[in-house]
Amino acid sequence: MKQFLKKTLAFGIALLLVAAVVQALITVRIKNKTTTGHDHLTIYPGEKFDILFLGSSRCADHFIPGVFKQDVGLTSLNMGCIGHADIPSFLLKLNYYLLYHPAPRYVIMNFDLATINGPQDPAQNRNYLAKHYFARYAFFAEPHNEMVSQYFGFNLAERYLPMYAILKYKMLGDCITMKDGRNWMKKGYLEQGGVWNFDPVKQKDAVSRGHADTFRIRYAPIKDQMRYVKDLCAKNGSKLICVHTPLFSMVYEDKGFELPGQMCRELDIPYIDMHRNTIPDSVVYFSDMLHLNETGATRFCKALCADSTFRAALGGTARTVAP
Amino acid sequence: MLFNSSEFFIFLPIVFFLYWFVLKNSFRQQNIMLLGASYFFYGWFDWRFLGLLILSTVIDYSFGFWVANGTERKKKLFLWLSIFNNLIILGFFKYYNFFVTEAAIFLGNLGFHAHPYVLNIVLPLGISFYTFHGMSYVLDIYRGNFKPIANFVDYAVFVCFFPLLVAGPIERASHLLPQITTSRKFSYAQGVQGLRLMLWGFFKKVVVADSLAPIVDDIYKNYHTYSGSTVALGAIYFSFQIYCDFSGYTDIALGTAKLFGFELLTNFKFPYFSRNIAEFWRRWHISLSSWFRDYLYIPLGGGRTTRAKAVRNTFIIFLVSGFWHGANWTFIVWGGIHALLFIPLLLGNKNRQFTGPIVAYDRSLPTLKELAQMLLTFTLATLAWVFFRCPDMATSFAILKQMTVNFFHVPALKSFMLFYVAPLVLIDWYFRRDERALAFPRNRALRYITYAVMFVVIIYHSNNNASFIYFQF
Repeated sequence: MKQFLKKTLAFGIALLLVAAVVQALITVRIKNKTTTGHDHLTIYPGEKFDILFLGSSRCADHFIPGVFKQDVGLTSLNMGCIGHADIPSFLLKLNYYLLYHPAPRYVIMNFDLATINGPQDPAQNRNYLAKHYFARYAFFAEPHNEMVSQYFGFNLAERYLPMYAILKYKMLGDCITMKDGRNWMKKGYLEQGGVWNFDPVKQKDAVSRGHADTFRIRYAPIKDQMRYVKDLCAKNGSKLICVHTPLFSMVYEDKGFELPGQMCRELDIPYIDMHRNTIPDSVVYFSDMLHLNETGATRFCKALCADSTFRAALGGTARTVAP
Repeated sequence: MLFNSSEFFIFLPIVFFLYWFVLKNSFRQQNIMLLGASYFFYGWFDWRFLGLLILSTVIDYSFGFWVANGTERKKKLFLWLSIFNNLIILGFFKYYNFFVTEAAIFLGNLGFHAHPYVLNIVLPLGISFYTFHGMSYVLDIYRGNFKPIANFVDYAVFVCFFPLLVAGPIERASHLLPQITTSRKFSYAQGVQGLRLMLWGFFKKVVVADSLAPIVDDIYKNYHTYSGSTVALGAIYFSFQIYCDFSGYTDIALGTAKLFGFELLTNFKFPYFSRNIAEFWRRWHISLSSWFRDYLYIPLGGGRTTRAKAVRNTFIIFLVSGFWHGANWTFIVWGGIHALLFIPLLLGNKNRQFTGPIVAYDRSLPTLKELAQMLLTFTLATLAWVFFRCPDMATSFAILKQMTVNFFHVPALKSFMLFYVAPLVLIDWYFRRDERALAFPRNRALRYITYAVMFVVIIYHSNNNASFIYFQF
């Protein structure tokens, strides 16, 4: 028995030690960097940005910081992330941003029916599409990283066994190569190349089913959460602006897409519907039904920067640039 | 509690520590602790079914005494009552809905409109396994092979020892009870063998089976959108998924039992290296097929009777075996196909052709003839698995039909063959001489590196936390 325990324990400890060393090396390598373009909670610490973009993949793919710098003269950071279509996740990112940076002047959130469709109750958030992108924050989370651990519900093994979360969520390759992260750091957003080649009927069916109903049912709690976001922004001297980013029009045909705008009006939050008359209904501008490709995103950002409501929302800070 | 859950990795060391360190001086106390641990393990899934498990245990324990001590007539009566009781439990939870629905369809065909009362109940986990444990115990006592056990705890441990409680192997009283009623000593070799079996079992389950599962699900769900070659590949993937899932579970169960000083029955002996269907059934789910052989096939006369009766008995055992897996015609047809494949061997006296060691036991490679035999057997087993996997007969036939469409196209999703199936076949081939003594490298450093790599690969694939296929049976 002694020999058995000795060897088993020795093997286990050796394995843990090797894992701890690899974990330490990876932690150093990815510190304050993004490995995939989604895990940017601690990116550019201390740096001040004028605009913080918050939202789902429809934020991550659509807001190009370079265009805003050029057209309105404001620096920005895009913290949108695929798979996070609920306000608690936007709040999580806003809180992280405030931990690592001075408060931005504007918080721009993509807020529409195709975005707010995830669970609004963090307690239900157990198997999120993009949980794996945040596995890097699971191991021995620093006190402020508790927020992300709690949000994603990382278990004890993921939090206290070195390399376990990174291996389990298959992030080792990304942590080593950081290929997608480098592209994000270069462009400042999640660039979508190519043109849309999806089946529109299938996509429409998958996307629009029940979103309006869900939003209507949860109207009151979503409104409370939006009020909280607005108040948090105001407390930090930031102004919250909501934008409805473009969709392929057949999705928008569904009734209920006016609901987020209505909510923003009730809460006195500037709301800019950039779906209508911004991007032609062409696959040239879309990578799928909900997401613009690079050409579409550039056109959208330029249109937003030129939009009078948006400029009014920015007040006198926007630099006037000839279109 | 799933073997591949984090709870199990907390549960197992605690039970191991209590068993070998706190209670090492009394095997009786060890048994009590094992019983408590087994109930905890089972209750972790759903504590509501614990009552049924305990009730079933008490009833079979009592029948064991009554069968042993009664007159010849009463013995028979109690035996049948015991069998009836187990079949009622099994029938109620597992087959009631099937029978009433089928009866309603039958009556509907005759012009009577019946509205069957369908139960909305969950199938208690492992019910097919623990009822079979109980039945074998009473049957062995009736046959005089075994005397009833005096201590209830010992018997209860036999029925619900946690490694085998939910998906077997289906143990025999004559094999396991003597181990339970004597003190166990820890053996280094047995412990190491146990850990190796567990590691290999986890590898098969988590890495191979769980990686193939979503591919198989997709192909079986959207078969009409795939070419025949891809659907055929999906069928092959399912053959390996179910093998790795179930034999992986068995390896973990055997390995866990070894850590506590127990040797469980072998359940798998590399079935896909079989040279005909008869050999396949001597290598696939051995504890179930031998159970049916000993308690059903042989009492019916087995193969040593007239040809007609031998054919009848073969059909009975395979159909019952299919039905044991679930209340669906697809399982019955799956059993029927195996019967049809077995009968020509039986009639040609070739069913016992390969009862010896595994193919190419003393060689590195099989002969071309053996290779062809293995491929044919595997193909037949794979086609039969289509019925096992599909939800209904119509889908099974549609999938078989789809296999003929563009069969010679290059299949999609073939990379899984390269990454999961081919390495598994090669490793199994390397291990094939002894399913328990897995041949890890002799060089110590290389051996530990192999363990570490396997460990890492298992964690890398551990995100699914999927249940085992055989839990549903």
